[in-house]
Amino acid sequence: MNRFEILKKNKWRYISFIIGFLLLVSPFALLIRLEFWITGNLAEPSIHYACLRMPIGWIFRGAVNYLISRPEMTAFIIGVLGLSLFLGPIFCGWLCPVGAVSEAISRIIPLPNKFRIHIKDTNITSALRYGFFAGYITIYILIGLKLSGDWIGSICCRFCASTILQNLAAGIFGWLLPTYGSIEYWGTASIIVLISWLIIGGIFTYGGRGWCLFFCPLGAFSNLLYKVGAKLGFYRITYNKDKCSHCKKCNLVCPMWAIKSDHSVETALCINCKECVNICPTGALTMKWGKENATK
Amino acid sequence: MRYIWAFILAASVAPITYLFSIPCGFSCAQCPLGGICILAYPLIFLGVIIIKFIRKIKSLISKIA
Ligand code: SF4
Ligand code: SF4
Repeated sequence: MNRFEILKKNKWRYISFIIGFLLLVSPFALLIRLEFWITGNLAEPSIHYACLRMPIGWIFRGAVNYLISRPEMTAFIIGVLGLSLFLGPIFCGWLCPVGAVSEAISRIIPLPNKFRIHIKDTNITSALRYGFFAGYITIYILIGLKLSGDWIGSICCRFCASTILQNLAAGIFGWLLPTYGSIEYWGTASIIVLISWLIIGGIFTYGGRGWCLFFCPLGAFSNLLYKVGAKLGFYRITYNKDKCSHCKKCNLVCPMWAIKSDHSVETALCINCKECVNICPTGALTMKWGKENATK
Repeated sequence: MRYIWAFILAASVAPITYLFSIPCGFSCAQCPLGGICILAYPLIFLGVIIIKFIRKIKSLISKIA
């Protein structure tokens, strides 16, 4: 299957990415606009108000009162995490503009795969990913216990790929909305993040999802819930070894390195993008509901 | 065992990196490096590519010789 066929087979996912961009990133930010219209918020909408990292931080540092005072963020995080439990991390796989942009850049730039980072052992990838997640939670517990000042938490936007994306979008599309012109938190940290997200995580990482795999706490949290949901029999990807011809096509297309050496799927990494389902020539990989064959 | 080490490595590197890069978060060039770190990533990657390239040339030469 060539690139155009893959593109055609997965066209709904790519269209969905464009919708995700329009829903979340300013000057469009249509979903945030709707939320602000409902709640009567007069601020200029941007992806900051759909921050998925801060509420996770609030939960882990015990600042539950913030969850009540920022209902738009709370609603968003509950929506994304709830979806992950019942339908898998479809926000990551189908809507997230940060993952979409790095994945797109990785596909557009034809760098030979031998120059790309690709860990084939799903256990190592999971260990690194959840190790980072544990480190991230540690920082929030330290902040929560007041062992460090609140100021550590206050600068995290400078290390956020969504902020960089928002800045890039403001530069490109800002003219569409003259009231929106803010380029925030631009400094060395932003450049480090830009390079980690798009150059190392995008161009130099197989599949272009290096940022999502190793640095996104929401992605890691969503996948943990997906793992639980898959065990409970909610919507998930399943592998039928009797149908598999071991052609390895699924390994080649998976942007999250989630296919194990026996071609079954590691739900701690999979984002339910269905690229593998669409390319599998024998139908060994399918999406399923129900208790039958729930992953162990 | 190596999975546990990978987990511990990532778990310890994440907060340390964050704490060390706090000056970058506040304002550019506030640390003793004065902003030169911008060059660090491209230089590391250039180094990796050069090393790979040299290895390839060496293996080619050894094949010919
Ligand atoms: S693409 Fe399908 S048949 Fe090929 S290795 Fe993967 S699961 Fe097996
Ligand atoms: S295993 Fe399949 S559905 Fe999951 S991330 Fe990889 S390609 Fe997408």
